[in-house]
Amino acid sequence: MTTPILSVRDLVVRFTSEAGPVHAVRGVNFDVFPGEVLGIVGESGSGKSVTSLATMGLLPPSAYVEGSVSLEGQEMLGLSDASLSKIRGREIAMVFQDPLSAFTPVYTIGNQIAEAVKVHNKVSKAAAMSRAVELLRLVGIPDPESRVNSFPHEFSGGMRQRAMIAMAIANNPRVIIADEPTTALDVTVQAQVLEVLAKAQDETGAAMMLITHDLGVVAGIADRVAVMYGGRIVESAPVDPLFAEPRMPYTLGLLGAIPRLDSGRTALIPIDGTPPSMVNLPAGCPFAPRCPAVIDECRTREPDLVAVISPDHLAACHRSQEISAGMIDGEPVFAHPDIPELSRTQVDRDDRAIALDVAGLVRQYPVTKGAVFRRQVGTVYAVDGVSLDVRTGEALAVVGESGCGKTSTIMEVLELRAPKSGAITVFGRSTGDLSESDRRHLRRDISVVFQDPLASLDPRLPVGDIIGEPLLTHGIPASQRHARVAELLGLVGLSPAHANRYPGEFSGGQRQRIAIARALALDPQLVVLDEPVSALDVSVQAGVLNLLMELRARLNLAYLFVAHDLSVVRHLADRVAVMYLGRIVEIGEVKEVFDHPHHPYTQALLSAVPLPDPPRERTRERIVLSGDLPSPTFAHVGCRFRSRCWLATEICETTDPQLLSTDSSRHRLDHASACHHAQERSVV
Amino acid sequence: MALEPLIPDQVLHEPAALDGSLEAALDGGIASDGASTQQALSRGQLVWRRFRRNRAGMGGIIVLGALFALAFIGPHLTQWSYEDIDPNAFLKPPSSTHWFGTTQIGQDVFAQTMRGLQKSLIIGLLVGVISTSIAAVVGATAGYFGSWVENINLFTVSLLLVLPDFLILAIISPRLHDSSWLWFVLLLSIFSWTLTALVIHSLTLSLKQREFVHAARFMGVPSRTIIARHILPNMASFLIIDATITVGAAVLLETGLSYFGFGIQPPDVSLGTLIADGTASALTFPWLFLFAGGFLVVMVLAVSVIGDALRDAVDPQSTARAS
Repeated sequence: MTTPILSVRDLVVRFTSEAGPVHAVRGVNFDVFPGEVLGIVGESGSGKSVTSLATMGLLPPSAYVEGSVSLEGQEMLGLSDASLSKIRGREIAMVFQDPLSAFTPVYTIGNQIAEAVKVHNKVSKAAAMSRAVELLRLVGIPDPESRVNSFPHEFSGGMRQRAMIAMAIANNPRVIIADEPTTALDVTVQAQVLEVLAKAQDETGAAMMLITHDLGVVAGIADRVAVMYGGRIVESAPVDPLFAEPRMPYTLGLLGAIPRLDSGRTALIPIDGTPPSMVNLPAGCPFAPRCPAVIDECRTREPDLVAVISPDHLAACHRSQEISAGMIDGEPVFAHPDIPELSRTQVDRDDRAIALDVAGLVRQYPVTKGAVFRRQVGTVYAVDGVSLDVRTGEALAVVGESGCGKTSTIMEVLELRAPKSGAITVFGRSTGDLSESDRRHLRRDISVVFQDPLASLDPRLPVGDIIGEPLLTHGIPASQRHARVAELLGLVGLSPAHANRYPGEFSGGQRQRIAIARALALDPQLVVLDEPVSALDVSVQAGVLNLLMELRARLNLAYLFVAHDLSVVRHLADRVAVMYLGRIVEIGEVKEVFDHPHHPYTQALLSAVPLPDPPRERTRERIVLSGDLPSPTFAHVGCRFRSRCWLATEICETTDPQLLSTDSSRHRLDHASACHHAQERSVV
Repeated sequence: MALEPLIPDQVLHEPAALDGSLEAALDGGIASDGASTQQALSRGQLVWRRFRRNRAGMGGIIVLGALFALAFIGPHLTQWSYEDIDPNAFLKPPSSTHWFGTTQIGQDVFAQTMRGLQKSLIIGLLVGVISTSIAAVVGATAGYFGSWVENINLFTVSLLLVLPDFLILAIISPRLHDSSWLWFVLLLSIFSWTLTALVIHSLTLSLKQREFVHAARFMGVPSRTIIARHILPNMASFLIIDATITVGAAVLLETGLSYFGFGIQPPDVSLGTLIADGTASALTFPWLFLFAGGFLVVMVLAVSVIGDALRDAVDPQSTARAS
């Protein structure tokens, strides 16, 4: 075995806080070997980012750090900042999560990359600049000679992250640490960036530490994976055995909790409870309070990380020898939750009533300039002719990259006002000719759940008042209101005693349950969900998704929801509409669209979603789109997708494709796409 | 329910453990209460409970109550009224006949201080509440509604900021000469709300974008209710601090106006005029200044302690930090 290039031993990091010491990292050991990719996976608060910062020596001086971090035999902990500066950037480089704040806004990208070169090498300014151009070309920035003089804000998110990678590899480092490098990015851009990261690693032969919360990302790129929980590594193994044969219940739970693109609608397996507080950790295994296979020993003694099957598969669990193939004592570790099937009898879609009908919806925002005399200098065509309908008891998902107009669409629906152009009809009533009191009345039937439950719940109102607000607004008397609030809290899995607490006292998943309870207060028929689970940790997300599925089945709700995570869509939706630049490019039944995508954009989108399945992920064909979403500020002629499309021909430049039903050689299909060259291509 | 069992209790109580004893006490209180009545408390009830638990705040209320009692009962305890002149005692230090001493012309300082306290307590508190309320209404409506409401409101604010206060006074005061001192309170309020309104306007602009405001709007909650229920409580810390400061400032502002012949006129007195008159002899004849000054300090302190407690009671996070 070769010697590790980076070796971390017994790393301990503590912070002080008002409530007592925060044990962020509690004894972490790992090695990174040359040319290897080590994935570190964990939920928020698991200590993964602190580990990476400690490795770089970037923690604030107030942090207490203990243990050993050695880079090629040289001890890094305890080095002065000056001597660390000589190593950072040259031997070990970092790619941060948020590329906008990682660049200085007042210098050009080129200057900042050239600076990274010049700090460690005695080269002329011109030479450093030409190296910067070379690096930008390497990471796939088009026209690097001119883009080198751009400022960070002139780059899109994906391009900034590429530039960040260019900066990291500027001095051929031995180790690259990437901390959630794709978390803030759209899935198609994520695919681009992951490709660039792999290329950069190839080019430099560096070892890489990839820190992420997304098991799918790890599956495709990592050689070895370490799963962190409660400030420790709880399981570590080469990527294939880890996904195939997890031995620690937490890993097992995490794998069961992620919705998968390649499996249909089954209940996910949530992990009960919330991640532990790092202030008052209980004695014993930190996962014990959430573990279904917990035994007495788990509560008293914390298990060591020891080899299980092979010397390189380590797990920290007292019962890891008993766990095999997700079973313990012949029972699955995590019981499959029971979710009632949709009670809806197989009434034909066409025979069900229309809950919401949107026809030719247009939403434009003016672009203005000047502070005193505002004048309009352009128009953002956010939504540009969208037509869709939601039948009662049906879930329609709208998906697309950020900026495609999906949120604008649902906000326009929620306003219940006459749109600039087109028509919105809710339960048979056109929003254009509603009186103010009609509109208020109609709001009983349509409610909303927002993305970030922390932002959508008034922090100054007790939960009981929050959930009771729609009831109060629509004149339900106080006595009924209290009973209904208690009932709703029970419905979403909280206790009625929680009504007197403030939202700040709940965890993210519980807050989203509160938001859902509020949305259901008036027995609506249509619930609009804006990215309902994207702000939640994976293990918590599963519980909320299951709740949404169960509520729909029990209350016969219709959902109109927006998501960027296609796996979530596959689990929750009956139908899906794929949006691109303010238009729907493909719409239809979920299974049909996902298994037989016709529009090239849908195909690219689906192929960009990483699967938490390493062997399949390695062999999957991936369509990586070039470039970014074009600016929505000019009116388009022809197909909007043509600038990024590999099928584009002359007709695409002149003729706007219409949304047409796909090949109907099979029986009557609920599936339409807008492409001149539509052809089926299986990508999942 | 088949789905996901209830989150285990110890996990839920975790934040309570973090927040320390006060939150734990809150949990205990609610748990026992919830068991007996099984009813959720509204925000008003919850805030009152949290306020009552704050000893300093309750102390402030008691002190303020005592000040009121003293101001209105005190004058009956002495034989002197604030207008009386004792020709046998000029500039005498405190004694058994004149508890707080006398002035240059033989007025009883105790009687004067009590009279001044009456006036200043009412003026201070009323101005604090009225000016902050005007600011809240004008600033929040400007920020929330935008368009012409914003233009009109902000224009009014700018106008009041630009026009000198005394110019307005000079125009209005002849008409107010014989009317009630409540007009004077209103006048003082009009001079003190403008800057606050600008701050509230900008706070509203950012709060308006928050999702919980959208959520309320999509629920069909009327705009004025949204402002009262969601926007203003979320800037309560600022409003309360502003009102507290205004109470003290109003007492002193009143002095300035009185000096120019508006407001409290001799022989009537207020704490402000007493302090203004006594400042010059603060070192030589301290009783002229000390008692009036002392009561002002006690009054402002009591108000700010109450304000602090109220802020902690309204803001769930601030309690967590305080404990």
